[in-house]
Amino acid sequence: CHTSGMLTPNGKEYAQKIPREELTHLILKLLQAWKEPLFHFNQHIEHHQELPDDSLSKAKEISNMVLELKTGVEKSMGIISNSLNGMASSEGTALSISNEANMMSDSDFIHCFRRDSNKVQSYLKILKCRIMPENSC
Amino acid sequence: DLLQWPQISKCRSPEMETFSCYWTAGNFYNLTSPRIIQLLYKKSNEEDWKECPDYITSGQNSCYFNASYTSVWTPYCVQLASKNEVYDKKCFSVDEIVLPDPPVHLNWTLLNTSQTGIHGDIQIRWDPPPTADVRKGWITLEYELQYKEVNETKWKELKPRLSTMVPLYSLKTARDYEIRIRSRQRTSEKFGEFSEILYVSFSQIGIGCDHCTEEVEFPWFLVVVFGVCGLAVTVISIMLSKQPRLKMLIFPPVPVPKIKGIDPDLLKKGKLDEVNSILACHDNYKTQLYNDDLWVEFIELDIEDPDEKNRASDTDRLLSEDHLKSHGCLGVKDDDSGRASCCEPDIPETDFSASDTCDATSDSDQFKKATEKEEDLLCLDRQDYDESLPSLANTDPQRQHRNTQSENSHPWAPFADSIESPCPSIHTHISNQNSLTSADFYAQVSDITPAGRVVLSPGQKSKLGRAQREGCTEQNFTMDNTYFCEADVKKCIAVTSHEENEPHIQEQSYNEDGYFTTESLTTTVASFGASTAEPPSSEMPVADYTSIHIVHSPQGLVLNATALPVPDKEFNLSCGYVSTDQLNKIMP
Repeated sequence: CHTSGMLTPNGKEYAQKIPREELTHLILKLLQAWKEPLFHFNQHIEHHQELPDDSLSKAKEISNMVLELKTGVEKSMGIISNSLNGMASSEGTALSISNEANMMSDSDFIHCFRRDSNKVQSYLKILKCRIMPENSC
Repeated sequence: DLLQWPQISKCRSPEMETFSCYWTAGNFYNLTSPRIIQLLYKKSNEEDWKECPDYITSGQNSCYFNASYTSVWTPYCVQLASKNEVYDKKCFSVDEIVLPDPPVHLNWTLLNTSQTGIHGDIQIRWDPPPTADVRKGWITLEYELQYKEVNETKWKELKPRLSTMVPLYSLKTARDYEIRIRSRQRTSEKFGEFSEILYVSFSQIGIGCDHCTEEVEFPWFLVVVFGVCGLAVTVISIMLSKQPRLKMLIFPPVPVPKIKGIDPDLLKKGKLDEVNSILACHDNYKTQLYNDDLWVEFIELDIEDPDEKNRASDTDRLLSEDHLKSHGCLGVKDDDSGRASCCEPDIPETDFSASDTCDATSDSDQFKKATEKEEDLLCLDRQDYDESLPSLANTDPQRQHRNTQSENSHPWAPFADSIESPCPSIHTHISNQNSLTSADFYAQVSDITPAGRVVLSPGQKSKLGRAQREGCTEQNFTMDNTYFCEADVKKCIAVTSHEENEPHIQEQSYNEDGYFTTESLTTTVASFGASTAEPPSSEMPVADYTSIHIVHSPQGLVLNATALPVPDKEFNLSCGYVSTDQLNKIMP
């Protein structure tokens, strides 16, 4: 996966320990890193006749959701630190257009995307817990 | 017994923080000396196989990896091996093998019971598995509830949901129920183990319905079957019944497409004339009322045929000249759409429409125009004459504008020669217009459409066939006359055709609408010599045609009255019309 090089917490404890800004930074970087590959993937599978229409529409839907999620995270976490967000965006873009991103096969693409989306979900949950003071995270 | 190798049965993580792998030992143990089976593992970025850190916690033949050994999104490979042999290998990542523990603390509460007390609603509540850290959101779980009556064998399933409470409606209070729940990670497909079974009994809380009678289930199946049969019988009986009214009521006839006023049977029978006559009543459909061939001559769209140009009469050129002058009208005329949509004769109509759309000018006014008109005509003449009969240059009686000129005898050619520059551009235009206006001035008005357009018809052939023996020689066809009387010339032509047997002239001039071209006319005039002066027939030819005096756009036409008091003997009384300047003499 093209995002394998990123240092991300692989456990709950680590995710709880790192500062919120850094977690936000990682989330945004991950989301940005998938922007271009998703776009290319959508274009690529549009020519596959054997895929059902549901899959194609679902893929488009997922791409849109990723973009919206990124925007949402930026907006909600932008209050904390803007500089880190900008850096995340640029780093993510660098990953996004790297060679590894372009040369992934379809199955690798799906596998990597599933993994990264699981990561993002977990990190966001932890982040949410940490932001809300009532939960003892 | 089959020889079974040691195998890794499964690897599982209950909460995405730790994981365990389980294996089966196989038959080797019994057959040979006990071998030491090891589980080795390796992360993707490592090279060495490491041994399992904990063989005990998860039970026998298992390996437990605690949180410090677990990296969630990292690919692992585990390997079952002894000293020399590798028995089994498996690769995975922890987030893929998450199978949560079952929910705990199931309980139920009564929501309400029905009025009869036969049915009741309950709500089930439970807690998520304690190992899964749902509170912090590290893992999100879905739950699926299954329930059944105690006596039944098949479980009823509810849709997986995220909440930890579920209502169950309409349970029979007389019966006892069993309930179980299982969970899975939200993004996975596989469910974990089922929870313990919860027993629901209404009698425990005192709502048991002792005096309830077993209600008979409504025989829905029988009702449906009999209903369908009855309906089928009714439908068939209606269809077969002889009562047309009833049939119409139940099964109204399907409307078929219909043209107003036309009986479809008429079309089927194929009586085309009748259909044509009916359809002719409709505004938007004009059948070909006349022979197709007539219109073929009219609709001469072929510019590339040079012979056609020669045969265009002078009136054509006059008309086309009119079109030239009123440029705005040209656009109208060139519009194919109007022409294509109807079968009306285009050419004479377009003349009138030209007059209509352009400011209404009487034809007489148009005839008295400036020299520029003259030039154009001369251009046309020149072009035309260059190609055709130059000898006829001096004999062109139908030039309208000649009337206004005093110099009749001027030869055309020198005048025409002096005008060269404006010609070519105009001529091509004119030639186009020629194709549009190949008709002559006069045509019988057969119909006036509501739109204000005039439908013209060709004359009746019968008139042409009249062998009028009126003396052609008696007529003084002065070149100054603006018009020839068509009837007269017809007679002449007919006479000449009969006498002199010149079929080609007849062909030329024997347009079936009764018109003739200038050349044909002049040749006719020139050619008849001493034709026998037979007594003129007293028969006055019925005026098929009436010249148009004034055109009011778009209300209508003012036609020259045929029965004008004509004291002057200059007029050809046998003609149905008078020329304009003759008319001017009459009129005050």
